[in-house]
Amino acid sequence: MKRIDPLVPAALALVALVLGMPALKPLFAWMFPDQARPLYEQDSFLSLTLGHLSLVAISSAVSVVVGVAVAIFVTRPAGRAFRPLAETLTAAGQTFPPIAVLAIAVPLLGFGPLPALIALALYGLLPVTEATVAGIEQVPSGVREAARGIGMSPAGILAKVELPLAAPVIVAGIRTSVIINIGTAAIASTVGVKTLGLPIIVGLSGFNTAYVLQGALVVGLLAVVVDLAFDRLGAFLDRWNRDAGAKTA
Amino acid sequence: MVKNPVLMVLVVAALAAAIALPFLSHAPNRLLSGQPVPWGLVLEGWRGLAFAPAIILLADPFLPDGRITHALVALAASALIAGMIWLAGDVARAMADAATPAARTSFGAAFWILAVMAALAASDALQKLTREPALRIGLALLLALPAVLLVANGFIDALSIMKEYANRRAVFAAAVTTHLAIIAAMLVPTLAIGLPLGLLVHRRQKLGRPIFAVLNIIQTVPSIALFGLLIAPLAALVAFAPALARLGISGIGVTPAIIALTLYSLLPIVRSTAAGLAAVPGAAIEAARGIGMTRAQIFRAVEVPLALPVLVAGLRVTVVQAVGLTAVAALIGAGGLGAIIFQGLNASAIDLVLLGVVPLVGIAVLADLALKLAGAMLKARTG
Amino acid sequence: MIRFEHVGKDYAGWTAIEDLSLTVEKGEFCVLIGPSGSGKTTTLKMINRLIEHDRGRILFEGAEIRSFAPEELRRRMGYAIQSIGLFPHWTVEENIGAVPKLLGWPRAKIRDRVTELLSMLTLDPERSRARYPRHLSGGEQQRIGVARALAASPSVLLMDEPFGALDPVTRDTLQAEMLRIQAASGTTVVLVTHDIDEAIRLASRIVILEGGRIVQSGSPREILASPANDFVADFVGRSDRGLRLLAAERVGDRMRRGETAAGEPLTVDASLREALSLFVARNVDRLPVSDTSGTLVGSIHLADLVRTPSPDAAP
Repeated sequence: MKRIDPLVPAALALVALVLGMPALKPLFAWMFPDQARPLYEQDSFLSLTLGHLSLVAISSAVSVVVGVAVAIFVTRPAGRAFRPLAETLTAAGQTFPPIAVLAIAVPLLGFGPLPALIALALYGLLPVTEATVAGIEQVPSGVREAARGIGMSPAGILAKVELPLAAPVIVAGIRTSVIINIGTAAIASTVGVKTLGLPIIVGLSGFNTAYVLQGALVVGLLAVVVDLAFDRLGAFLDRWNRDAGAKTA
Repeated sequence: MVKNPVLMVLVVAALAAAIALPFLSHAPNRLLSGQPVPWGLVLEGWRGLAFAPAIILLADPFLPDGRITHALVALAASALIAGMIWLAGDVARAMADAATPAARTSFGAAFWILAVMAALAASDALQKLTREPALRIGLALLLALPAVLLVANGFIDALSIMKEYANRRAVFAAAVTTHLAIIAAMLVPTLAIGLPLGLLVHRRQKLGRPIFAVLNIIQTVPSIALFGLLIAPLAALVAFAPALARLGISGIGVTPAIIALTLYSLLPIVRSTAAGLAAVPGAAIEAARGIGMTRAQIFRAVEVPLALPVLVAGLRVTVVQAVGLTAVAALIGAGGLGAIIFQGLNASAIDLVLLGVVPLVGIAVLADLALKLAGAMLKARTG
Repeated sequence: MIRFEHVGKDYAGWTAIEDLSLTVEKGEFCVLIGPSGSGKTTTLKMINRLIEHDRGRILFEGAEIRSFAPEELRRRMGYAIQSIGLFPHWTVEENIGAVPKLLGWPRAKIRDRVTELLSMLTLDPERSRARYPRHLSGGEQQRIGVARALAASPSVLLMDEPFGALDPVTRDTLQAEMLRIQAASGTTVVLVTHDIDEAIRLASRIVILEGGRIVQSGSPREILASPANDFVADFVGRSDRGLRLLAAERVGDRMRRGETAAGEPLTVDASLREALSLFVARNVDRLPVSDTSGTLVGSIHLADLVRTPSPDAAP
């Protein structure tokens, strides 16, 4: 029996929820009869979602670019000496709770989206670097040697052999980084950024459980959809790798 | 010739930070932002000696590779950090004498950068000094001791962060206790559910797929969302059965925090239990059966000891993750160090934020080291 | 000692063992041999109930094996496997003492037995007992495996291709030790192998299995001299049969007592195959023979290799 792909229904549910939240007002009014304001209306969920996504997208993009670059440098002969340092930093850094990074960024750089972005980018860097290094390292040395033997340049080997073969592991690292980012971005609402965490925070301080539920549902569903998308991407890469391998075989 | 390019980079970065950024900053009161304390004041008189160990660190890239060099670097780093702490405390005391009680002196960016660089240099040196994890961790703790002793004995009490501490000693102690208590409390249901679940997944591989699928989804949901999602049902449950409220269970606070933490911890525990059991050599189990051990005896004497190192690694991930999650739980009223952090963020008081963040990171790092040590010791015994 | 009576074993869709009847006498060194899938390992594992038989009876010392609890049965037998399976988190001493501990022996008794076994297997007791398996070579590990199997002085020792994973030199040494130990302790041994030379060297009785049935059973000499059918003949090797026959005989059985010859002597226990090899290597047609203590006792001629054993041959 073919497994139903949950990505499409989940994504549709997310879009429906984000766009149609106002329509659910009667439902929340029924669920929370004592609540004077059963629906978060200070900002539209669409704008919050877009704000959240753009924060995550930009910081993740930076994390990926810098993280992969650092990892590539550290696995080249020129950068080999920095490998232990990189490993110590990524390992130690991930012991830091993500909230700590956010909390430190604010006093240093002020409130608002930019400090949050920097904090998210810096923290998101770590799993990406770690995964890219691991991914490149697990490429069998025999394959690398063969590529050298047929006369590929080091840049060519990197682009055509190492990175494609490391791709599944790298994508897994990016996935981890993005999912953590989505969660941390929600907390960023406490430092003046408009994300999906805002209804939750406002709801918590105002004892409005309806707000909390709305925010939690949307951001939770968002995270699940993104994770499923990455899952699909991973499967696609596997197939692509296999086919590409078959073609050159 | 530069023997160690890594050190070189660290040294150059540290120097750049030291020159461009302030070591300490001073503000007449909490509301105004701090001004850099001039280097002249910081290095006045004998104070400059605090930076003497830096000479070794500066020279290190050019020193020959060897155990003595590494040991010297590690010691110099430790001395430098301790020296800077003492220095900061001394300058702060001097400035406090000359200013109003509302004035605050705090660590500047240069201090943090220099401290982190020194710590990295020490870590690099320790890694080259010995391969034994137990030894590395023990030495690291010893090297951190002077700095810890200085702080504990009040040498930096004049600094703003310690002033914040002094203002809310009881609150701080309560926060730390609550934070640790929440983590300890969540370990009980986590292990009670996670260990048997891991065993089940190991014995019946087919169940692994759905179980891990569910646990993965839980892991994906942002912590603040999960906390939030638990509030409504829990509140409804308590409304339905008021007896629970008398037990201390409620929709907000510690209850949803522990439930959510347990849910988040299940994935690493279940996965590492199953992986640990899978890593037990099949030959050992076959031999154990053949010599006449019962199923229970094989489990107790062979499988559990050999699976333990992997399980402890999973426990390490769980605890470190829990430290951070508990801080977020402050938002739903669970208390803990997160409460101090968010209070600081609300009031734009960096020292309050640091008062929460530094212990938070400290606990995470200590837990990480302790469990790493435990794992290394177990691994040594079972090969 | 061990008797199989019309034993059968089925797996889903195919029959692994088909009406097997076999008796292993006390003190025998019985080797089960056959190609892959012949059922030799299954047969072995049915003895200690690691695999349960479906049809027939298996008796151990007169009693049906089903009348014992499986663990109880296994503790009365020694079991050594190809992958050795030492417990990595236990020292050599703890590994060897595993069964005695299960049987509740006092610590001092276990300690002494470990010392005894380590010496018997030519390992230094004091240096070896506190070490961990990962610090031992493959040969040393398998010695410990055998020691563990013998620890509680079982009446029967079951071995499943124990030397298969070792290099030829170590395998040779351990085979020799196995012979020595079995001769000294009188333990009944049932050993599974696919190596015909190992079988010929070790066995007092060889049982050849094919497709879950016994094809032939007898002493190595009998099997080599009169293979029951083409399969057995092929199995023991058509072109090497003669050499293998020589390997199954001792110098002591064909030598001429009292005669002398020149050169480095051969021992009475050496196989005729070794003798042939030396004849060719030294380009001679007679060799001196000494007993195990080194005293010259006679000689052997090249022609003796194809004569039937004489009535006054040395025991």
